[in-house]
Amino acid sequence: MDVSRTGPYELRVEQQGAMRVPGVVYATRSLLSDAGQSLEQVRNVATLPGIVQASYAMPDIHWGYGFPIGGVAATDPAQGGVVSPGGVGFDISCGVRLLAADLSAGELAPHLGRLMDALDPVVPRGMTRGAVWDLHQPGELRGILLAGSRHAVERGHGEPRDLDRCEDGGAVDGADPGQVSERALERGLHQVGSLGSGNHFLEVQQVETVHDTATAEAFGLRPGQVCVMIHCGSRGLGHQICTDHVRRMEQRMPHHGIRVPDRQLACAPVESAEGRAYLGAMAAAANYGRANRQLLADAARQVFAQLLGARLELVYDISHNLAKLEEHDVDGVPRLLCVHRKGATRALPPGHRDLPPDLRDHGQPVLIPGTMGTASHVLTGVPGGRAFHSTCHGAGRLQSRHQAARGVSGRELRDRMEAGGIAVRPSSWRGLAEEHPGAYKDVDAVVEAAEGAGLCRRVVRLTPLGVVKG
Amino acid sequence: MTERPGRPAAGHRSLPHTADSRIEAWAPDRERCLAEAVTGLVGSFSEVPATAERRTATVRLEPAPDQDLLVELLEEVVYRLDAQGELPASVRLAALPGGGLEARLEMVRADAAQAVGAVPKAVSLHGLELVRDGCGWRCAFTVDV
Repeated sequence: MDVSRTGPYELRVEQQGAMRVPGVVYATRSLLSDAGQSLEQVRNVATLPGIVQASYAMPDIHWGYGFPIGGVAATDPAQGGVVSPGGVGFDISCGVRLLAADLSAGELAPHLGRLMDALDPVVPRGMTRGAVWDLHQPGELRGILLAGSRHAVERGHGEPRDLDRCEDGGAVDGADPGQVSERALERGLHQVGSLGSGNHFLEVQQVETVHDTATAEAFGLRPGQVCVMIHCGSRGLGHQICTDHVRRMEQRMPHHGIRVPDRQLACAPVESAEGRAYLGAMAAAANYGRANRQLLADAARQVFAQLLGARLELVYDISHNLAKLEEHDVDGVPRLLCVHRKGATRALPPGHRDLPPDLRDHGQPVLIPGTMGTASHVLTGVPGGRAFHSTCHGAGRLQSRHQAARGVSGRELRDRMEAGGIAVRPSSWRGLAEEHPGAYKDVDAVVEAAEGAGLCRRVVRLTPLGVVKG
Repeated sequence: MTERPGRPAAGHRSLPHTADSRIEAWAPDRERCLAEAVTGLVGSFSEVPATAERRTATVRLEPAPDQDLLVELLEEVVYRLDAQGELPASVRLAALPGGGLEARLEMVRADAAQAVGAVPKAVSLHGLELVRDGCGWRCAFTVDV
């Protein structure tokens, strides 16, 4: 057996065959009940050229393509390390944004139905086209690709303070729109400010439990406060960029002498033309994803202001599908690494230089969207954080969409949630049923495992009041 | 060629996949198998009313290995949905001399269809299958939603 438990929250997958490093999975036994396929993917990632330390997986690990979802891998470009679009995922910079209202759940209660009715039509989602920002100027999309949320804020879709509360100040450096195909641009043109479908959502939530009052206050959160959480990504543009660059890298892999055990693990050295092209396009998609969340937040803010006279302040915006060049100590030596996080979240510890001054003593807010209708979490990074300062990204799926939809109808689920006090505005009944809470792992157990493994610390638990479902 | 036990000669179905949509399609010949794959993909997220207005779009796929033709065809559907707001109500495929394919897609406006599931955004190369077997042709693919 090549898998052994090395702690209550940790498994080791021994290095064997073409693996260049071992695998390390942070999870309890019960969280790994369906781990066959995903552990194989941990092994496959360990074969990537230039991989450093280990092929890591977070407690919400589940079956992806190439990388498992919940996978983290760093490669060293100076040692021929590769970048793999499969290590980022199709939905580049898919992530989460949390806003806090100057309003308590008690104050909102009499107006909740009206609030959800007002949010329903202004949050574009589902199969048909439509977005908050209809781009009329040809240069507008280029501005978004280059500067993400910064561009959106400059154009009046947000507040300058928002940018202090976004990873990378709202835009990833090094975006190269020249590496984005016409098809990707066409797909992205009419989707700036839209949720999409699947597991994406906009939720009205309340702060149910505060685990760490000082850190919660620094994040701008207090008990009973109303929040808005937005979970979405870079829409068709990001997916097309992944598709295009996987194809290009797959064709060039023989030239670089690279073989991979799964076509979706296609990769190229970071320091090659294909590697640089992908990173430039990926940064452009990441900026699009951030602008997308910025526009949806803007739409929510307008509804809160008009209907309730309430303000929404940005707590933080994170990506959980991204590759970044970051400096990390490896065996006491600082090295510049290309860190892939696919369904995993960066979790900077207190004191990190990349944190804004008002958060530096507390660490990075890490936003974990939970299962629809159960709970979400705000975590923070910890000193000595493992897996290159990474942690989980969500609950992690347990059932297929097919299985989930067989278990309950969308209407039944809506009725159940409404009976529990949660207002639901779905885009399709089947889509709602596919996302029922039983289809996912228990997000509380995932977060407990992440904390137990030394990846992060809990700050706040949020529960939903209303769901606008993609 | 033998028949697949308990199944029609051509068809498609959903297969279990934890996060996304996995679809299997089969038919006596390659072109019908690919057409079933498209029908299976569209049916995984939408229901098109029979009365919806249609227009014909023709797509030519350059010669490529069969698996790549399958991916390219499915990607065309995904692209047209996002960029043009259309989806194919039906498709007919014909082999071109030299190995390519011509697809005739009967397109309808997406807003005329009813959403019944998560919308596909990309076609994964992971676990991609298109093979000729004793019963004809069979493919299986996973789409990211």
